[in-house]
Amino acid sequence: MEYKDYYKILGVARDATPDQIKKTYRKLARKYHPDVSKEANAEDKFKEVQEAYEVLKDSKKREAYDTLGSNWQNGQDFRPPPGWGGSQGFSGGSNVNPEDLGGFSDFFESIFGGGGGGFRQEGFQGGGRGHGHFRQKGRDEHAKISISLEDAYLGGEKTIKMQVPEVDANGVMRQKVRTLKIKIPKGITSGKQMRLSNQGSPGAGGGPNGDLYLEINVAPHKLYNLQDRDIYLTLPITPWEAALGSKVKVPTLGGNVDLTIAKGSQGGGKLRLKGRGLPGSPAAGDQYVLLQIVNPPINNDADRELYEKMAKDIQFNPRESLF
Amino acid sequence: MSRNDVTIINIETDQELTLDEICEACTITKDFVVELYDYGALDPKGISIEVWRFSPEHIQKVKTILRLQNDLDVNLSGALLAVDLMQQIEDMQNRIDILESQVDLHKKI
Repeated sequence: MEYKDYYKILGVARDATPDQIKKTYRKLARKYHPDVSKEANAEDKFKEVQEAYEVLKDSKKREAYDTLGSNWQNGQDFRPPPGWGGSQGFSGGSNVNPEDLGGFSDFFESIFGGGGGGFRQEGFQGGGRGHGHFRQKGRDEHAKISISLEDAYLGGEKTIKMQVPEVDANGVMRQKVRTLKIKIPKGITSGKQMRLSNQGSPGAGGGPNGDLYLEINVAPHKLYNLQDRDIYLTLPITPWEAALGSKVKVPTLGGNVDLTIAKGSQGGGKLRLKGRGLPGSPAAGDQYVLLQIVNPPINNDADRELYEKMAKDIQFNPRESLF
Repeated sequence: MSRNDVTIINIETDQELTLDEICEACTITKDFVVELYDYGALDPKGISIEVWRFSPEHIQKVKTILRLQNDLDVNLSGALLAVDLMQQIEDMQNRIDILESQVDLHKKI
Protein backbone atom coordinates (compact mmCIF):
# COMPACT_ATOMS: atom_id res chain seq x y z
CA MET A 1 0.00 0.00 0.00
CA GLU A 2 1.05 3.60 -0.48
CA TYR A 3 2.33 5.78 2.33
CA LYS A 4 0.28 8.96 2.79
CA ASP A 5 2.13 12.10 3.73
CA TYR A 6 -0.68 13.84 5.57
CA TYR A 7 1.39 16.97 6.16
CA LYS A 8 2.11 17.29 2.46
CA ILE A 9 -1.55 16.65 1.56
CA LEU A 10 -2.64 19.53 3.80
CA GLY A 11 0.38 21.60 2.82
CA VAL A 12 1.52 22.22 6.40
CA ALA A 13 4.86 21.78 8.15
CA ARG A 14 5.38 18.79 10.40
CA ASP A 15 5.51 21.10 13.39
CA ALA A 16 2.33 22.97 12.42
CA THR A 17 0.11 23.98 15.33
CA PRO A 18 -3.42 22.54 15.67
CA ASP A 19 -4.72 25.99 14.75
CA GLN A 20 -2.69 26.11 11.54
CA ILE A 21 -3.88 22.62 10.65
CA LYS A 22 -7.50 23.54 11.27
CA LYS A 23 -7.23 26.72 9.24
CA THR A 24 -5.57 24.98 6.31
CA TYR A 25 -8.07 22.15 6.42
CA ARG A 26 -11.02 24.56 6.31
CA LYS A 27 -9.55 26.34 3.33
CA LEU A 28 -8.94 23.10 1.42
CA ALA A 29 -12.32 21.66 2.43
CA ARG A 30 -14.04 24.70 0.91
CA LYS A 31 -11.92 24.37 -2.22
CA TYR A 32 -12.52 20.68 -2.79
CA HIS A 33 -15.89 19.99 -1.21
CA PRO A 34 -17.70 17.83 -3.80
CA ASP A 35 -20.95 19.76 -3.34
CA VAL A 36 -19.42 23.11 -4.23
CA SER A 37 -16.17 22.47 -6.08
CA LYS A 38 -15.76 22.53 -9.84
CA GLU A 39 -12.18 21.26 -9.55
CA ALA A 40 -11.31 18.08 -11.41
CA ASN A 41 -11.19 15.06 -9.04
CA ALA A 42 -12.68 17.21 -6.27
CA GLU A 43 -14.16 14.17 -4.57
CA ASP A 44 -10.84 12.29 -4.42
CA LYS A 45 -9.00 15.39 -3.27
CA PHE A 46 -11.59 16.08 -0.60
CA LYS A 47 -11.41 12.52 0.64
CA GLU A 48 -7.63 12.79 0.90
CA VAL A 49 -7.86 16.10 2.76
CA GLN A 50 -10.52 14.70 5.13
CA GLU A 51 -8.35 11.71 5.88
CA ALA A 52 -5.28 13.85 6.55
CA TYR A 53 -7.28 16.13 8.86
CA GLU A 54 -8.83 13.16 10.63
CA VAL A 55 -5.32 12.14 11.69
CA LEU A 56 -3.61 15.48 12.24
CA LYS A 57 -6.41 17.12 14.23
CA ASP A 58 -6.33 14.34 16.80
CA SER A 59 -3.25 14.58 19.02
CA LYS A 60 -3.12 10.82 19.72
CA LYS A 61 -3.48 9.85 16.07
CA ARG A 62 -0.99 12.50 15.05
CA GLU A 63 1.50 11.27 17.62
CA ALA A 64 1.10 7.67 16.44
CA TYR A 65 1.47 8.77 12.82
CA ASP A 66 4.57 10.79 13.65
CA THR A 67 6.23 7.73 15.16
CA LEU A 68 6.43 6.28 11.65
CA GLY A 69 9.12 8.89 11.03
CA SER A 70 9.59 11.63 8.49
CA ASN A 71 11.64 9.75 5.93
CA TRP A 72 8.67 8.38 4.06
CA GLN A 73 7.63 9.91 0.74
CA ASN A 74 4.02 10.36 -0.28
CA GLY A 75 3.08 7.37 -2.47
CA GLN A 76 6.02 5.24 -1.32
CA ASP A 77 5.30 1.53 -0.82
CA PHE A 78 4.44 1.06 2.84
CA ARG A 79 4.12 -1.85 5.27
CA PRO A 80 3.26 -1.23 8.92
CA PRO A 81 6.29 -1.81 11.17
CA PRO A 82 6.40 -5.26 12.83
CA GLY A 83 4.34 -5.33 15.99
CA TRP A 84 2.55 -2.12 15.06
CA GLY A 85 -0.36 -1.71 17.42
CA GLY A 86 -1.58 1.56 16.03
CA SER A 87 -5.11 0.40 15.41
CA GLN A 88 -5.67 -0.26 19.10
CA GLY A 89 -7.78 2.34 20.76
CA PHE A 90 -8.48 4.44 17.69
CA SER A 91 -11.96 3.32 16.79
CA GLY A 92 -14.72 5.81 17.45
CA GLY A 93 -14.37 9.42 18.49
CA SER A 94 -14.88 10.77 15.01
CA ASN A 95 -17.78 12.62 13.48
CA VAL A 96 -16.63 11.70 9.97
CA ASN A 97 -18.09 8.54 8.57
CA PRO A 98 -15.51 7.38 6.02
CA GLU A 99 -18.16 5.17 4.46
CA ASP A 100 -19.96 8.34 3.37
CA LEU A 101 -16.86 9.16 1.40
CA GLY A 102 -16.41 5.67 0.03
CA GLY A 103 -13.93 4.73 2.78
CA PHE A 104 -10.52 5.98 3.87
CA SER A 105 -7.34 4.60 2.32
CA ASP A 106 -5.79 1.22 3.10
CA PHE A 107 -2.91 3.14 4.64
CA PHE A 108 -5.26 4.83 7.12
CA GLU A 109 -6.92 1.56 7.97
CA SER A 110 -3.63 -0.26 8.48
CA ILE A 111 -2.56 2.40 10.95
CA PHE A 112 -5.76 3.35 12.68
CA GLY A 113 -8.28 0.62 11.96
CA GLY A 114 -11.76 1.35 10.65
CA GLY A 115 -11.59 5.05 11.48
CA GLY A 116 -15.24 5.91 11.85
CA GLY A 117 -15.83 3.26 14.47
CA GLY A 118 -14.35 0.00 13.28
CA PHE A 119 -17.24 -0.46 10.89
CA ARG A 120 -15.43 -2.37 8.21
CA GLN A 121 -13.49 -4.64 10.51
CA GLU A 122 -16.32 -5.75 12.74
CA GLY A 123 -19.24 -5.52 10.41
CA PHE A 124 -18.02 -6.69 7.08
CA GLN A 125 -14.93 -8.80 7.44
CA GLY A 126 -16.03 -10.30 10.71
CA GLY A 127 -19.38 -11.42 9.34
CA GLY A 128 -21.48 -12.87 12.10
CA ARG A 129 -19.13 -11.70 14.81
CA GLY A 130 -20.55 -8.24 14.54
CA HIS A 131 -24.00 -9.26 15.72
CA GLY A 132 -24.89 -7.99 19.10
CA HIS A 133 -22.11 -5.36 19.13
CA PHE A 134 -23.67 -2.76 16.90
CA ARG A 135 -26.07 -2.31 14.05
CA GLN A 136 -25.30 0.01 11.21
CA LYS A 137 -27.29 0.87 8.16
CA GLY A 138 -25.54 0.10 4.87
CA ARG A 139 -24.18 2.87 2.72
CA ASP A 140 -26.55 4.68 0.39
CA GLU A 141 -25.68 4.21 -3.25
CA HIS A 142 -26.13 6.79 -6.00
CA ALA A 143 -26.48 6.29 -9.72
CA LYS A 144 -26.80 9.02 -12.29
CA ILE A 145 -28.62 8.03 -15.44
CA SER A 146 -28.01 10.06 -18.56
CA ILE A 147 -30.80 9.99 -21.11
CA SER A 148 -31.42 11.81 -24.38
CA LEU A 149 -33.93 14.62 -24.65
CA GLU A 150 -35.91 12.41 -27.03
CA ASP A 151 -36.14 9.73 -24.33
CA ALA A 152 -37.26 12.36 -21.83
CA TYR A 153 -39.98 13.42 -24.28
CA LEU A 154 -41.16 10.00 -25.44
CA GLY A 155 -40.20 7.85 -22.46
CA GLY A 156 -37.97 4.84 -22.87
CA GLU A 157 -35.84 2.26 -21.25
CA LYS A 158 -32.25 2.50 -20.13
CA THR A 159 -30.01 -0.23 -18.79
CA ILE A 160 -27.14 0.60 -16.47
CA LYS A 161 -24.64 -1.56 -14.64
CA MET A 162 -23.29 -0.66 -11.25
CA GLN A 163 -20.88 -2.29 -8.84
CA VAL A 164 -22.41 -2.94 -5.45
CA PRO A 165 -20.94 -4.61 -2.41
CA GLU A 166 -22.71 -7.75 -1.25
CA VAL A 167 -22.07 -10.11 1.61
CA ASP A 168 -21.72 -13.70 0.39
CA ALA A 169 -22.73 -16.89 2.24
CA ASN A 170 -19.43 -16.85 4.16
CA GLY A 171 -20.01 -13.32 5.38
CA VAL A 172 -17.30 -11.88 3.11
CA MET A 173 -17.83 -8.63 1.24
CA ARG A 174 -17.63 -8.92 -2.53
CA GLN A 175 -18.24 -6.49 -5.36
CA LYS A 176 -21.08 -7.61 -7.55
CA VAL A 177 -22.23 -6.20 -10.86
CA ARG A 178 -25.84 -5.27 -10.70
CA THR A 179 -27.89 -4.48 -13.77
CA LEU A 180 -30.70 -2.00 -13.50
CA LYS A 181 -33.27 -1.78 -16.24
CA ILE A 182 -34.81 1.63 -15.80
CA LYS A 183 -38.18 2.40 -17.31
CA ILE A 184 -38.38 6.11 -17.92
CA PRO A 185 -41.78 7.77 -18.08
CA LYS A 186 -42.62 10.48 -20.61
CA GLY A 187 -41.78 13.99 -19.55
CA ILE A 188 -39.11 13.26 -16.96
CA THR A 189 -36.99 16.29 -16.16
CA SER A 190 -33.30 16.63 -15.52
CA GLY A 191 -32.34 16.35 -11.86
CA LYS A 192 -35.35 14.17 -11.04
CA GLN A 193 -34.48 11.76 -8.28
CA MET A 194 -35.90 8.55 -7.02
CA ARG A 195 -35.25 6.74 -3.78
CA LEU A 196 -35.35 2.95 -3.68
CA SER A 197 -35.30 2.05 -0.03
CA ASN A 198 -33.13 -0.88 1.08
CA GLN A 199 -31.57 -1.22 -2.37
CA GLY A 200 -28.19 0.21 -1.38
CA SER A 201 -25.25 -1.51 0.29
CA PRO A 202 -25.90 -4.18 2.90
CA GLY A 203 -26.06 -3.14 6.53
CA ALA A 204 -23.69 -4.38 9.21
CA GLY A 205 -24.47 -6.32 12.36
CA GLY A 206 -28.00 -7.00 11.21
CA GLY A 207 -28.58 -3.34 10.31
CA PRO A 208 -30.80 -2.47 7.35
CA ASN A 209 -29.49 -2.02 3.83
CA GLY A 210 -28.77 1.47 2.61
CA ASP A 211 -30.93 3.10 0.00
CA LEU A 212 -30.35 3.49 -3.70
CA TYR A 213 -30.81 6.94 -5.22
CA LEU A 214 -31.24 7.34 -8.94
CA GLU A 215 -30.84 10.72 -10.56
CA ILE A 216 -31.89 11.49 -14.09
CA ASN A 217 -29.69 13.69 -16.21
CA VAL A 218 -30.98 14.78 -19.60
CA ALA A 219 -27.94 15.02 -21.86
CA PRO A 220 -27.32 18.24 -23.84
CA HIS A 221 -29.01 18.28 -27.24
CA LYS A 222 -27.55 19.66 -30.45
CA LEU A 223 -30.65 21.78 -31.17
CA TYR A 224 -32.55 22.30 -27.97
CA ASN A 225 -31.85 23.56 -24.47
CA LEU A 226 -34.02 22.35 -21.65
CA GLN A 227 -35.12 24.37 -18.67
CA ASP A 228 -37.49 22.44 -16.41
CA ARG A 229 -40.17 21.35 -18.89
CA ASP A 230 -39.58 24.17 -21.33
CA ILE A 231 -37.51 23.73 -24.44
CA TYR A 232 -35.53 26.53 -26.07
CA LEU A 233 -34.60 26.58 -29.74
CA THR A 234 -32.64 29.27 -31.49
CA LEU A 235 -34.16 29.82 -34.93
CA PRO A 236 -32.11 31.51 -37.65
CA ILE A 237 -34.22 33.74 -39.93
CA THR A 238 -33.44 36.12 -42.76
CA PRO A 239 -33.74 39.91 -42.44
CA TRP A 240 -36.66 39.95 -44.88
CA GLU A 241 -38.53 37.20 -42.97
CA ALA A 242 -38.16 39.37 -39.88
CA ALA A 243 -39.06 42.63 -41.58
CA LEU A 244 -41.90 41.48 -43.79
CA GLY A 245 -43.27 38.66 -41.68
CA SER A 246 -43.46 35.07 -42.83
CA LYS A 247 -44.41 31.53 -42.03
CA VAL A 248 -41.50 29.14 -41.38
CA LYS A 249 -41.13 25.52 -40.37
CA VAL A 250 -39.81 24.93 -36.89
CA PRO A 251 -38.62 21.60 -35.51
CA THR A 252 -40.11 20.42 -32.22
CA LEU A 253 -39.65 17.12 -30.42
CA GLY A 254 -43.13 16.16 -31.57
CA GLY A 255 -42.46 16.98 -35.24
CA ASN A 256 -42.25 20.10 -37.41
CA VAL A 257 -44.76 22.90 -36.93
CA ASP A 258 -45.50 26.09 -38.89
CA LEU A 259 -44.59 29.26 -37.02
CA THR A 260 -45.77 32.71 -38.01
CA ILE A 261 -43.16 35.39 -37.71
CA ALA A 262 -44.79 38.76 -37.27
CA LYS A 263 -43.85 41.74 -39.45
CA GLY A 264 -41.10 43.84 -37.93
CA SER A 265 -39.71 41.08 -35.71
CA GLN A 266 -36.25 41.66 -34.28
CA GLY A 267 -33.40 39.34 -33.39
CA GLY A 268 -33.65 38.13 -29.79
CA GLY A 269 -37.46 37.97 -30.03
CA LYS A 270 -39.00 35.06 -28.17
CA LEU A 271 -42.03 33.19 -29.50
CA ARG A 272 -43.90 30.55 -27.55
CA LEU A 273 -45.23 27.26 -28.90
CA LYS A 274 -47.64 26.33 -26.15
CA GLY A 275 -47.52 22.75 -24.91
CA ARG A 276 -44.63 21.80 -27.20
CA GLY A 277 -42.21 21.21 -24.33
CA LEU A 278 -41.90 18.09 -22.21
CA PRO A 279 -45.20 16.41 -21.34
CA GLY A 280 -46.25 16.65 -17.71
CA SER A 281 -48.85 17.37 -15.13
CA PRO A 282 -50.65 19.71 -14.54
CA ALA A 283 -49.51 21.04 -17.94
CA ALA A 284 -46.91 20.24 -20.54
CA GLY A 285 -44.01 22.62 -20.94
CA ASP A 286 -43.71 25.06 -23.82
CA GLN A 287 -41.19 25.44 -26.58
CA TYR A 288 -39.63 28.88 -26.86
CA VAL A 289 -38.26 29.94 -30.19
CA LEU A 290 -35.53 32.57 -30.00
CA LEU A 291 -35.24 34.51 -33.23
CA GLN A 292 -31.83 35.14 -34.62
CA ILE A 293 -31.52 37.29 -37.71
CA VAL A 294 -28.76 36.10 -40.00
CA ASN A 295 -27.44 38.43 -42.68
CA PRO A 296 -26.89 36.78 -46.05
CA PRO A 297 -23.29 36.88 -47.24
CA ILE A 298 -22.35 38.84 -50.36
CA ASN A 299 -21.67 36.27 -53.03
CA ASN A 300 -21.74 38.40 -56.15
CA ASP A 301 -22.11 41.94 -57.53
CA ALA A 302 -25.89 41.77 -57.45
CA ASP A 303 -25.83 41.00 -53.74
CA ARG A 304 -23.46 43.89 -53.12
CA GLU A 305 -25.65 46.29 -55.10
CA LEU A 306 -28.65 45.26 -53.07
CA TYR A 307 -26.85 46.05 -49.81
CA GLU A 308 -25.64 49.35 -51.26
CA LYS A 309 -29.19 50.21 -52.29
CA MET A 310 -30.45 49.48 -48.79
CA ALA A 311 -27.68 51.60 -47.29
CA LYS A 312 -28.71 54.45 -49.54
CA ASP A 313 -32.50 54.14 -49.41
CA ILE A 314 -33.21 53.01 -45.85
CA GLN A 315 -32.73 55.67 -43.22
CA PHE A 316 -31.76 53.62 -40.18
CA ASN A 317 -29.24 54.13 -37.40
CA PRO A 318 -29.24 51.27 -34.86
CA ARG A 319 -26.75 53.22 -32.67
CA GLU A 320 -28.96 56.27 -32.21
CA SER A 321 -29.61 55.55 -28.54
CA LEU A 322 -25.90 55.29 -27.75
CA PHE A 323 -25.15 58.97 -28.27
CA MET B 1 -38.02 -5.86 -6.18
CA SER B 2 -35.38 -8.55 -6.08
CA ARG B 3 -31.63 -8.24 -5.74
CA ASN B 4 -31.10 -10.59 -8.66
CA ASP B 5 -28.79 -9.68 -11.51
CA VAL B 6 -31.34 -7.60 -13.37
CA THR B 7 -33.58 -5.25 -11.47
CA ILE B 8 -36.42 -3.55 -13.28
CA ILE B 9 -37.21 -0.11 -12.00
CA ASN B 10 -40.13 2.00 -13.02
CA ILE B 11 -39.18 5.59 -12.43
CA GLU B 12 -41.97 7.34 -10.60
CA THR B 13 -42.10 11.06 -11.19
CA ASP B 14 -44.25 11.68 -8.16
CA GLN B 15 -42.57 9.62 -5.46
CA GLU B 16 -43.57 10.97 -2.06
CA LEU B 17 -42.14 10.36 1.39
CA THR B 18 -43.63 10.88 4.81
CA LEU B 19 -41.99 12.82 7.63
CA ASP B 20 -40.88 9.54 9.23
CA GLU B 21 -39.36 8.37 5.96
CA ILE B 22 -37.32 11.52 5.37
CA CYS B 23 -36.11 11.37 8.98
CA GLU B 24 -35.04 7.78 8.54
CA ALA B 25 -33.44 8.37 5.14
CA CYS B 26 -31.35 11.31 6.40
CA THR B 27 -30.90 10.10 10.00
CA ILE B 28 -32.36 13.32 11.38
CA THR B 29 -35.01 14.19 13.92
CA LYS B 30 -38.48 15.54 13.21
CA ASP B 31 -37.51 18.71 15.05
CA PHE B 32 -34.71 19.29 12.57
CA VAL B 33 -37.13 18.85 9.66
CA VAL B 34 -39.44 21.40 11.27
CA GLU B 35 -36.48 23.76 11.72
CA LEU B 36 -35.61 23.42 8.04
CA TYR B 37 -39.25 24.06 7.18
CA ASP B 38 -39.29 27.18 9.37
CA TYR B 39 -36.19 28.43 7.57
CA GLY B 40 -38.01 27.92 4.27
CA ALA B 41 -35.49 25.29 3.18
CA LEU B 42 -38.09 22.55 2.74
CA ASP B 43 -41.46 22.98 1.12
CA PRO B 44 -43.35 19.69 1.55
CA LYS B 45 -46.76 19.15 0.08
CA GLY B 46 -49.58 19.13 2.62
CA ILE B 47 -51.03 21.77 4.85
CA SER B 48 -50.08 20.29 8.22
CA ILE B 49 -47.18 18.34 9.64
CA GLU B 50 -49.30 15.17 9.85
CA VAL B 51 -49.80 15.08 6.10
CA TRP B 52 -46.47 16.49 4.92
CA ARG B 53 -45.13 14.74 1.85
CA PHE B 54 -41.54 15.12 0.72
CA SER B 55 -39.78 14.30 -2.53
CA PRO B 56 -36.46 12.49 -3.07
CA GLU B 57 -35.00 15.88 -4.05
CA HIS B 58 -35.74 17.06 -0.49
CA ILE B 59 -33.62 14.18 0.82
CA GLN B 60 -30.68 15.23 -1.32
CA LYS B 61 -31.08 18.82 -0.19
CA VAL B 62 -31.06 17.81 3.47
CA LYS B 63 -28.04 15.58 2.92
CA THR B 64 -26.19 18.40 1.19
CA ILE B 65 -26.99 20.71 4.11
CA LEU B 66 -25.72 18.11 6.58
CA ARG B 67 -22.54 17.54 4.59
CA LEU B 68 -21.83 21.25 4.39
CA GLN B 69 -22.42 21.63 8.13
CA ASN B 70 -20.18 18.72 9.06
CA ASP B 71 -17.40 19.07 6.50
CA LEU B 72 -17.05 22.83 6.38
CA ASP B 73 -17.91 23.58 9.97
CA VAL B 74 -20.63 26.07 9.06
CA ASN B 75 -23.80 26.66 11.01
CA LEU B 76 -27.27 25.96 9.65
CA SER B 77 -27.81 29.47 8.29
CA GLY B 78 -24.48 29.31 6.49
CA ALA B 79 -25.23 25.90 5.00
CA LEU B 80 -28.67 27.07 3.82
CA LEU B 81 -27.14 30.16 2.27
CA ALA B 82 -24.60 28.00 0.43
CA VAL B 83 -27.32 25.65 -0.84
CA ASP B 84 -29.41 28.59 -2.09
CA LEU B 85 -26.41 30.13 -3.84
CA MET B 86 -25.50 26.77 -5.39
CA GLN B 87 -29.04 26.54 -6.77
CA GLN B 88 -28.77 30.07 -8.15
CA ILE B 89 -25.47 29.19 -9.82
CA GLU B 90 -27.06 26.13 -11.38
CA ASP B 91 -29.99 28.18 -12.69
CA MET B 92 -27.65 30.82 -14.08
CA GLN B 93 -25.49 28.17 -15.72
CA ASN B 94 -28.61 26.88 -17.41
CA ARG B 95 -29.38 30.37 -18.71
CA ILE B 96 -25.79 30.77 -19.87
CA ASP B 97 -26.05 27.49 -21.78
CA ILE B 98 -29.13 28.77 -23.59
CA LEU B 99 -27.49 32.09 -24.43
CA GLU B 100 -24.24 30.44 -25.48
CA SER B 101 -26.16 28.22 -27.87
CA GLN B 102 -27.23 31.42 -29.64
CA VAL B 103 -23.63 32.61 -29.82
CA ASP B 104 -22.50 29.19 -31.05
CA LEU B 105 -25.10 29.34 -33.80
CA HIS B 106 -23.62 32.66 -34.93
CA LYS B 107 -20.19 31.06 -35.10
CA LYS B 108 -21.49 28.19 -37.23
CA ILE B 109 -23.15 30.48 -39.77
